[in-house]
Amino acid sequence: MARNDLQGSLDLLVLKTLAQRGRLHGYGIVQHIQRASDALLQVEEGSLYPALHRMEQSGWIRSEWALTETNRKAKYYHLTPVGRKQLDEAEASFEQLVKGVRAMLRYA
Amino acid sequence: MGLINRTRNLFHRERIDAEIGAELRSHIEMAVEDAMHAGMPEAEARRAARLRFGNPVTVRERTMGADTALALEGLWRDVKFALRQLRKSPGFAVTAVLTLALGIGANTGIFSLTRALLLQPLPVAHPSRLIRISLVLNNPGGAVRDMPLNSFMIDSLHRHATTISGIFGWTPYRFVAQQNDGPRIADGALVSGNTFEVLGVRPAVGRLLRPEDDEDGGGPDGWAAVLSYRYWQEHFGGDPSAVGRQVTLSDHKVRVVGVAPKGFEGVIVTARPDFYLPLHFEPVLRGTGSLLRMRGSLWLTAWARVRSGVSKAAAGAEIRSLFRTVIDETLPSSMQHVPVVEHAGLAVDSGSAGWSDLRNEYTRPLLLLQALVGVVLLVCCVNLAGLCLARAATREREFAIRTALGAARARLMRQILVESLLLAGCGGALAIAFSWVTDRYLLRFVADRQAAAALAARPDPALLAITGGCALACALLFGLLPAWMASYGPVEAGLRTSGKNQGHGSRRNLLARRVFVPAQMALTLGLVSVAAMLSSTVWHLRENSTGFNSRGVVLFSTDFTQLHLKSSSLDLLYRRIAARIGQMPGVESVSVAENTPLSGASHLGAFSPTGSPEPGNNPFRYETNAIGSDYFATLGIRMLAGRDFTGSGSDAGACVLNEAAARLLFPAGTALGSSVRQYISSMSTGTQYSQNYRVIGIVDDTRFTSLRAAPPPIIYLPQRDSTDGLEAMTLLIRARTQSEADAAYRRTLHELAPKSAVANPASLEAQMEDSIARENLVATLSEFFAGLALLLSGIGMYGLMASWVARRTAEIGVRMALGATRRAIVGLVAQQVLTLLAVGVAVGGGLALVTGHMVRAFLYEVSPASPEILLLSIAIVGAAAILAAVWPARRAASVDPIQALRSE
Repeated sequence: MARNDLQGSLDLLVLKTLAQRGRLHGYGIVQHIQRASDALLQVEEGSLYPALHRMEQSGWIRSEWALTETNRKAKYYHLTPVGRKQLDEAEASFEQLVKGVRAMLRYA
Repeated sequence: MGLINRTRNLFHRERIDAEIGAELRSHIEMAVEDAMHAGMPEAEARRAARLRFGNPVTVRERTMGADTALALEGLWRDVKFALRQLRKSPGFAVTAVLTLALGIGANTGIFSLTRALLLQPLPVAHPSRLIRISLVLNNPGGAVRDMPLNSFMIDSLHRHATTISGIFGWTPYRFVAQQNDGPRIADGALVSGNTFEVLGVRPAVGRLLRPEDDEDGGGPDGWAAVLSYRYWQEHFGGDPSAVGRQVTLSDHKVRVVGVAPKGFEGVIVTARPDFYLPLHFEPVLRGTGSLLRMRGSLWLTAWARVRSGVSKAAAGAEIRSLFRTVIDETLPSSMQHVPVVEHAGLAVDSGSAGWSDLRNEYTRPLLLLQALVGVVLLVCCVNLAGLCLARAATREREFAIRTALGAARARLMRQILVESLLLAGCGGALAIAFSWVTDRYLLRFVADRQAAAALAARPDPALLAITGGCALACALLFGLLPAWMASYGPVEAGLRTSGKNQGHGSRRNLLARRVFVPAQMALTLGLVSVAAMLSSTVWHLRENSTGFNSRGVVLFSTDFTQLHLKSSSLDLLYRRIAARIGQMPGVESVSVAENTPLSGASHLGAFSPTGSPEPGNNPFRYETNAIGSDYFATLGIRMLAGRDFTGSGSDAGACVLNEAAARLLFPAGTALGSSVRQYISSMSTGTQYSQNYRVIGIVDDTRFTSLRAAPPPIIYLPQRDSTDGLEAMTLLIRARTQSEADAAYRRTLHELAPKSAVANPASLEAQMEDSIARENLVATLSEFFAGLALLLSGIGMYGLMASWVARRTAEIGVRMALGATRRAIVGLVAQQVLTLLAVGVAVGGGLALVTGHMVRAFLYEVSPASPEILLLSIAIVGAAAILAAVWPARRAASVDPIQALRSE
């Protein structure tokens, strides 16, 4: 995949995770993506947090501080309605991309 | 919304920073916990988490970036960092800021004058539709003279011109205003009643002049006067009840009807009228000398507004085509076909920026100065670029380390540019203060005090914009290359360099600076040669033989208008005054004259030898000057033949010629004892007559109208009761000291004409200096600019050679160890300097020749390609370069080989 699309796909993964799991902190998001993708996808923490904060500034997600099961303070993120719409769009465009790439591969 | 949020977050930076820190820490803690759960020892778990997480500081910064408007925030941080960096090298910062302040300040200073004199539009409605109409006369010398019109011509144009919606006449007039502290001279203007209407100006209070005010005997309010806003503030405290009050102007009662708007200073740029009165007030002021009803008088500058939808060119064409119609309608029939009128025409100029006498005189000098300061600014920039490169050299290692640690190149570049901008900003701020000072200094050269006051710059947005623009352009010019070079420097090399070479710059860096130094030298050489040419012009003008001796001569411009004397009594009064002054202590000689040399005033006459036909096409070739006795003795003008006027009845019908006039009128050399006939045609009355004079003496030639022009033919006529301008002749006193002359004048005036105004003494030497004020201004400033450029290029050369020596310390050590003498080492440096100099001189020499041709019009007895001047300029620039390299050369020669080799 082109380098430019990496960021777009990270957003998609994060939004999807939050859509599936409701409320989650950054570490949880990393864990979830790793597990759900059978360890095929590794999210770099270095990119995750800037992405989370950017999405929050864009109004796609919202955050609040809460305690984890182990009584540790963590910042939890959840989707906003705008974020849900964004997710739909991102999913649709990702499907398009995949379709396109598949078609190309078959043709070859 | 996002951006607003982010910008707002800038102010909560610390809280957000702490929050991000906490979030990232909790992430790592969770990762460590999970790893320990899986059985990893804590230390190892922590290490693994860190490795996975990457550099926490970077992550934090990037996250921060998502939360805040990073560009703004980063910029602020760059500014803070840049300030810190500059504080670390105060020498560099001070040099840079001062250089910029001088360079930008000189530009702002000259520009503010250029703008005030040439560019600033008048504060009236649609100034671009304003035109100025003048009468063009072709002078004997072939020079075109720009003359004003009169009220008849203006009325005639008003009737015939269809392309203009209004036309008015304007003339400056000096009133005597009765104030609480006594009579004071107040500048004013006499204007047509419709002036303010045509200009589209609204009053600050009351009303402005209307056509009905401009009638014989005044309008509905009597003689209506409009005050300037400034005068209203200063003398009435801005009190609206000033409207309706009576004030006394030049012994006449007038009524204030209103105040002109703030900032309105009339249409003549260098005059600042405080009173505006209608044209019909003029006969009241001047009495029998009034010009208003004189058909041949030329005294009103004419201004018109072009109808909307009509181009200025179309209006100009129509007005020019109306010349003959206007002449036939307004001039007495006897005047309509004299040669002067036949060769005349109407001219139309843009009136949007007003008009000024000074504009003719100073436009070209100002543009030249503007070009020169532009070059100075360029030298400043090149110099600073060199300085910045030198500085970048000392920071090569720092940049290499920062690049290695992951700083983006764009960011490094940005940071250097921020430093440049910061320097330029400081320089610009200082420049404004500096330009204020330079303007005061510059205006001292303008001989006309009042004009100087009008031109004095006041800081305003446009000027600040120019200064800011200059500063920005400088920052980009001198900052971009160093920034680019620094950010694209080879990281590895920068890191590998150990202590020995650090701070002296890579080869690349030195190479770039090697281009800058000759460039600076070349520009400087151009400036120095221009300065040398202009200075030697002034020198030639000063050293010119004038034909008279100015030392010890003091001039007093009398004004006996107020005495209301008959001309025969005036004639007598001058004789008595001269005789009385001659008896005073310290006075060697005294005389009186209509005009004095180099005052700028001139009175041309038409003459031919009696008996020969009337002169043809260009008859006005002779300067005439009405003088009392002892004029030649007072000025030290040599009598070549015959005798001087005696001041008695025997002078009647006599004249004295100077050699040039004698040669022109009597090529055979028979002037003395012959007769000349003067042809006089009065423009005002339309009468023509002639008069004969016997030549009783011949005197040496003298410069008269300017130091530049060759001595003109002069015909001296004796002072008598029919002399023009008899109420305002000039007294010439040669005395041991100026104070003795002044005392003699004051005492005599007190005795013989106690009611007249006392004139200030002016030495003839000062008058001569004033006559070359323009040349002097240009020369002095160009010298100053050349000096500045020399200093800057000296600094540039010094910096480069100092770096060169420092970089080669080890090499020099080896050479010395191998037996090189100190001489040889100095030779090594000299070779470098001379190579740079040779390149600079080669380029600069060409530049000097080109600029020499560009300033040709300013030169006097100096050839633009004069080899002496070029060689002198090269010598000056070379001396500066060598002087700048002396210290680095000494340093090179004093390298201790053992030290140098040990530190290797």
